[in-house]
Amino acid sequence: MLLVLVLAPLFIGWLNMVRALLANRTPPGLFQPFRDWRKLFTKEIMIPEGSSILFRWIPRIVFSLMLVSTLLVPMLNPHAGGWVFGDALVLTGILSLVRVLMSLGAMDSGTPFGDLGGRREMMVGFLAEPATILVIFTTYLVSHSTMTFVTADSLRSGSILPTPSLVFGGLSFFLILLGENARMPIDNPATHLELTMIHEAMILEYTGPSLALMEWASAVKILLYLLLGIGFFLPWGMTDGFGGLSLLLASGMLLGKVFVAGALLGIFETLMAKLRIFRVPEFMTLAFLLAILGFLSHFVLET
Amino acid sequence: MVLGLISYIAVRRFRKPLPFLFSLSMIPGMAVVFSGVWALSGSTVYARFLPFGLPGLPLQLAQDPLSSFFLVVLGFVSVPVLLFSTGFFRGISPQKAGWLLLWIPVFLGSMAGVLLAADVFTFLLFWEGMALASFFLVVTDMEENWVRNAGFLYLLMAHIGTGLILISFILLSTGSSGTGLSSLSFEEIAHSVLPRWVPWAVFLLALAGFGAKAGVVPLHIWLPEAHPAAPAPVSALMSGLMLKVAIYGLMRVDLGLLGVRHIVPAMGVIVLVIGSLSALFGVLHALMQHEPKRLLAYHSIENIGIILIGFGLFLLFWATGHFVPATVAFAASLFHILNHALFKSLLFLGAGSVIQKTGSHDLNDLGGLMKNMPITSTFFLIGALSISGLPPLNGFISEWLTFQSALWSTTLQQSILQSVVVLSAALLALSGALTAMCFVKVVGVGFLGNARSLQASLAQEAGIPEQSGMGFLSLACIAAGLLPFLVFRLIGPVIFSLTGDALPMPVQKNPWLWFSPIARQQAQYSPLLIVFFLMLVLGTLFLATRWAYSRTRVVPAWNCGYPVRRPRMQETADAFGQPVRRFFPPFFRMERTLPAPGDTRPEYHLKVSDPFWSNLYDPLVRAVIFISDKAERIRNRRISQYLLYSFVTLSLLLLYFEARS
Repeated sequence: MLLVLVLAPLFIGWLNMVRALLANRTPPGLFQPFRDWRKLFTKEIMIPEGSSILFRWIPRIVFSLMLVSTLLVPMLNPHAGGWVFGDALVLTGILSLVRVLMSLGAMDSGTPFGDLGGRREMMVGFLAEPATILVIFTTYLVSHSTMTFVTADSLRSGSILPTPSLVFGGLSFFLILLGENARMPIDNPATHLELTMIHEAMILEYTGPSLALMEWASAVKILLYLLLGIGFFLPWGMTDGFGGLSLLLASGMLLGKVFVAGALLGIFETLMAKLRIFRVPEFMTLAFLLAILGFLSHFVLET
Repeated sequence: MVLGLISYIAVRRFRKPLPFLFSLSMIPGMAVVFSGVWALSGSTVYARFLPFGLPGLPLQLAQDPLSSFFLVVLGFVSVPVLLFSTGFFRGISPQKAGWLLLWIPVFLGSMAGVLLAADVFTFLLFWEGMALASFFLVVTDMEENWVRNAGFLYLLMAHIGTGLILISFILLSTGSSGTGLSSLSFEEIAHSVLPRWVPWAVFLLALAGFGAKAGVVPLHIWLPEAHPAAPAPVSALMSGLMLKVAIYGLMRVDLGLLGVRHIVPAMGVIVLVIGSLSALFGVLHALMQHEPKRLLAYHSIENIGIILIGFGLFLLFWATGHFVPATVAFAASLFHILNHALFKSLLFLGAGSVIQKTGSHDLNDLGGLMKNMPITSTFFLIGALSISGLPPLNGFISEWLTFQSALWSTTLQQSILQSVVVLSAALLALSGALTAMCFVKVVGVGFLGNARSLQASLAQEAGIPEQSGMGFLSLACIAAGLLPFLVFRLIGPVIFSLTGDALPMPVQKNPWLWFSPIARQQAQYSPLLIVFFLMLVLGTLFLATRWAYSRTRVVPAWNCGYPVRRPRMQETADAFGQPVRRFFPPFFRMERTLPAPGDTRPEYHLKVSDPFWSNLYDPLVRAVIFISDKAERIRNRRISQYLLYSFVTLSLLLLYFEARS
């Protein structure tokens, strides 16, 4: 949990570095998110007139929920999770709760922009949900469990080459990741244009520490999706032991994978153009179809 | 219990002429229902009573775990609703108070009667009592024309349903070994031997008949009309309880009377498909509504769909011999029945309070109620989060269980069954997420932001009885979400009694902490731990950021620098549904006028209506009128022609029987 807490801003920093380098700009440096948020934490909080108590509390609740949900993600040792409080479906449930709360907070600001952001966020959410469920179904086929740690363990014990169903599942999951985290073809994290923005519209009215918490929570969210994807579809490199050395080795592997994934994500985002908002369903239907393909290919090719 | 029931009805009837005792008279009724239900909840024994009846026609009542479970739901929800109504109906005329005071107890009593009935005659008697009482309650505000129309539509659909149920009962009793009236008792029917086609006919008739009452697509049309017409507590009772009584009827006929031995997989598929369609259709139309109670009515259709998805999965898995997922699906279905009863009545009560305090039936006039009515708004928010199926509240658990059961689709042999199950799970996920969107809309437009009208900005908090009624239901939602094993104590005996199979719940050291339906390795969920960790992190964060949050300033919203900002510029309820309207065109019938580019007085109208009206019911009505017109032509004749008619009929019948023998 604390690891993710620190790693998440670094990951965002790395992602922005890659994007800046690809655009021939001077990159801001790996620690830029920390510098931004430190500054934000020294500022005072502006509460828009007319907002209720929800608006004050939602950044803190959202941030806490994101941290709690990181407990469900297998990272280093798949045996560590015998006690965890939920499975992959619970995880999607908590993430939906986060989404609902963020949208409510946006609508509480009482501005047209907040409402617009909240509506679009919920829209992307309902488009992504069926695909998410099908991805869970696909991983269930292989592991016979929805517990994230058990799934990671049983998928790891297979060969290093993933099965076709997992390839499709992983691709679908990647598209879901882009959609749920307001990344490039769905939403442009670097723009404030009302025609296009989703996530940014929701957090427009947050200031100071509230804004920092919201951004930090989003950083945790994208890293969580990435770690979950790695845990489900590229789980090799995890360790069975709890010794210092093996854990160190496993974290090295994990960091390497996150590093590469960040670079790939940066390249992908730079290459993509933003989709029109009403093309988003097609994008998400693609994710859904890929998940169905993964589900079917298990029966056709693997039994 | 039965005595309690009778006295309950009696007490209420005699108090009828004393409308000024309105609030007082609720209390004995509540106490009776509550104590009766309390005595029931633990008992799993089959008890039989023959306490009263007409000469030669005794009314048989019996109580088994299935009816006990529904009685618990009935009592648990009706008490807070009655508590709420003591405050809610404070200002109404004595005439109407008497009316409500007469019919609400009759309504509740007949629902209990339906649940306890042990023969066909008693069942239908109470069933009709329930339909009539609820009809009278719907038309409480009968001065209004549209209220009367809604009431008649409801009555019509209710009677079509009753007719179908009657036929299914008659078919069932044909195989009964008893003679005369004793052949109508449920116990005789359950042991009867039926010809091969009868189970199918009974199943379909019962599905349509009870479905008409429960609001299953395409027989749902009365629901969105009746609920806005009825007073809020009545809507809460109808949606929270009466729809469940219809589901009870379906379960009783399919499992109790037909028996699990008659189930075939295709029945499960039918229920599953109808359930998925109802769920999706209900939520899509709910997203289009801007009238809170109509919106909630569409959500009832959706939730009945979810209940039927669970029930359909049960039938399907049971018929194919997969007992573990079958019992889990059944548990999910029963759990959702309780959940829906709790949160839907909570939401109806909340909506009722809001409508009463603001005087507006339109979400687009509201806004900012979180500040004026903080307690009502908080309760409504709890209900909204529950119905959206979000952890750690109760709605999540039943959806989670349904998914857990659907995951077993991989063990099914036929790929067609597999794909039906997987698709219905995906549809369930879709409708769950759409529900969340819909309630973000209701809460966001209605309760957050700035007030869009004067009435909304002047609204006052609801009274203490209303608050306590809603508070009780909110607490129940939270409790059922955090301690699901308590609900499972009630569900377990029901499943055991109907299927002879126990839930596969693994034995655990701390059942109150860990909830896992099948095996710990496969899936487990601990709402208490989620809350614990959340509180831990939130507490730490609160302490860590206390200093930062001490410096706050209330300022006009920045709004991206746009200078003009009026409350009316906030999103409307209709705008919120716009993307959905655009993505799912076949589900809606839209009439839209858009302004031309150079229009100096631009106008925009949009009317979204139910396609079933224009595509199914309107042609049906036209067909009926057409046929009756034609029939009119042959009716209006001289007496000699009438004699000719009888002669022809007689000869045809004679020929027919001649040919048969």
